Amino acid sequence: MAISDEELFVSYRRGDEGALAELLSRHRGPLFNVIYRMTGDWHEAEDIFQETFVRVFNHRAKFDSGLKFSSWLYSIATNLCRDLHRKRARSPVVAAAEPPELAGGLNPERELMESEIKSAIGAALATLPEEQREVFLLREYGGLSFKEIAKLTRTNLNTVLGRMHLAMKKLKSELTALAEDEG
Amino acid sequence: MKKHGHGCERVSTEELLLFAYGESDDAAVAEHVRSCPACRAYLGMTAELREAAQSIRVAAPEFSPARPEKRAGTIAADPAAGRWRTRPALLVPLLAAAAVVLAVGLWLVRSSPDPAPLHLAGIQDRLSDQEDWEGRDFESRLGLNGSWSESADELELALLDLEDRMGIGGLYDEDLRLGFFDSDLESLLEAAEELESDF
Repeated sequence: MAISDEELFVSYRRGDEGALAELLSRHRGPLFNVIYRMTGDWHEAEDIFQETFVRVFNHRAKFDSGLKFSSWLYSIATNLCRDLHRKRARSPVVAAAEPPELAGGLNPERELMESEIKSAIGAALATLPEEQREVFLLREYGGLSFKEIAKLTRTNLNTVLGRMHLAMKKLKSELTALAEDEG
Repeated sequence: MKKHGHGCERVSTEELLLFAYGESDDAAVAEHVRSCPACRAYLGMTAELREAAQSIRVAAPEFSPARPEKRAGTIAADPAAGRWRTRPALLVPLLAAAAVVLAVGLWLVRSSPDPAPLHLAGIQDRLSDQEDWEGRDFESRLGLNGSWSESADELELALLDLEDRMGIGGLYDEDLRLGFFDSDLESLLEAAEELESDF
């Protein structure tokens, strides 16, 4: 049976550096995707991603082992993203530019089309209000349950589900409009 | 209050979302969804959007040299490392204070007067050096044999005399042209003027 995040974190607090590396490898991808889509900027996402783990280290003694580690991790990251949004002072989240593909493919036209679709999905995500986008990203990329998101955002479950529903409706509408424009 | 935004009156949107993400264990909902077109359409839309979202997943970058693992390792070894990043409030005034200290220091250095022999002993030392080099006893001519009774006028006259002699004699023309004695005499004259004003 796999060791839980919480058990790993307890091991890390006892001095097992390998436990932290394992936690990082588990959460690296999902966490970065949430942060990247929240900030809309690759470099800021990198900074917040690192800062999140620095805070995990600095506040490791404060972690309540009765909580889920992932909830704690994402609450740190989302708080940092909110701080960034406040600093940007009313400026909306820009649509995250899709990172360039690392390897060249054999079908450039298809790649271009896929790249445009990806950009459109990213742009649609960026149009969501912050609260809706946060719920959508935490559920979709972070893998947090709706109940965990409710706890993290200090709202009730129905509010979280309502935000998710609105996010989906808006995304669907944006993507449909885009498909019609191109069709 | 339960909402039914997807067009079905029996199962709420909240219940359907929980079902779509596998967070519902309500058998009645599962049973209803099988036969409800509105609920199935909503589930279809949910699946489509989830797929779209997954298609734009990006790979987390490898951080080098400041990889999180490395960084976490570094701060594990030295808890103080990396702390400055979380305390910009302390860093900013510290940098501002350092800049002010630097600016004041520069101002003081620039505004301080050139070191000049502002006392008789200093002038005497300089003239002694010249005397040694020249092989003449200027001290007696200048009256600077350690007595503090000379007036500034006498000192100035003696210095002017010295300047004349060096120019007329031609012995030091080369040196004067090269600026050796020039600066010394000027500084001595300045010193004499300052002494005069002090007296």
